[in-house]
Amino acid sequence: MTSTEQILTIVAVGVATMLTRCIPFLCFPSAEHIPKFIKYLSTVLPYAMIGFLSIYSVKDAPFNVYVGVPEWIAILFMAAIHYWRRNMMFTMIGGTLLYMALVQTVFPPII
Amino acid sequence: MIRNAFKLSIHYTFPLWAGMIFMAIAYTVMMHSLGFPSWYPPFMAAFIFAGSMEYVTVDLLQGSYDLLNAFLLGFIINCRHLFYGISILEPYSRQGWKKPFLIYMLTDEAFAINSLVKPGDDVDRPWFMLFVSAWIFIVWVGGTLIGNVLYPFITFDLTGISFIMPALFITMFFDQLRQKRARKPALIGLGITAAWLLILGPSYFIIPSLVTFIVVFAILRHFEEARHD
Repeated sequence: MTSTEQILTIVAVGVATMLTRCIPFLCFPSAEHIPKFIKYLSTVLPYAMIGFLSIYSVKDAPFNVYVGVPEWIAILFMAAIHYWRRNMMFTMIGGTLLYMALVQTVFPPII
Repeated sequence: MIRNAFKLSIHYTFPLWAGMIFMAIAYTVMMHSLGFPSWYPPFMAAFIFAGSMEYVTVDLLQGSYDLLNAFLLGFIINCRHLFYGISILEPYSRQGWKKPFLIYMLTDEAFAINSLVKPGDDVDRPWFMLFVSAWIFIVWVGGTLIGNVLYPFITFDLTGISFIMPALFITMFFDQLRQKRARKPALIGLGITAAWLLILGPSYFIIPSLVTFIVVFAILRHFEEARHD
């Protein structure tokens, strides 16, 4: 690829990404004229999308050599400390530190 | 109160900073090692501004030139943004000059925080949403700039710090399990996505999951209305 082609490729990806962000707001420019079903979706989708993101953000884990074991350990640990302290930042940082310890010692990345 | 909105935006985004900066540095170092010019990472970070898509773009840049493929891949991988837009239509729609910026900076993280955090009366919510989005933008683009300068000097092992992203979403998911209104849609979202991921693998599960959401929620709403009649 020449550098012009590279830049055009980046621009194509950027424009596509921007469209995904703009389309809902272009379809429904004012908050007053939103169809009922879309309104209903906007009450349930924020929760459903957090469920989606929880899976999406670890999507490759079940398919690598460790079949997601370090992720599962960190998630169960997070569930336990979240139940105990109910503090979001505590849970996030605790889970990440445990995960880092796991992948740096017991489950090293395979290259 | 704009000042309170600023403070609260730091409170919510701060845990992400370390992870995002590290990921931006890692991505900058990777692009350097592949021989791309050093202005590519900050340019891609600011223009595409979607972490996973930027990694995919690095793959695209190494392949053969195919603009349509690049465009379609960008659209499909990021079509989850369509759902964020629908979910956050009302809070984002009445924001005047802030609206285009909020839309431009609508990432997974900004969506998660802005749609679920409903600050109290002493906080100006539009400003809070704008600050949250802006922090994520500044930290992400700033990370690539830091990466350009620092990458020869990074010696300590930060492997695994990117887990802060799943940790944010999963912690929010735990929180939703305790809210009566949120529990059912959250579990439906998680269950459908997990099922399609296990059936189709990590490359093809996104669109089937999103389409199934619409179908399942349409059916649920139909039954809920029937029950009310």
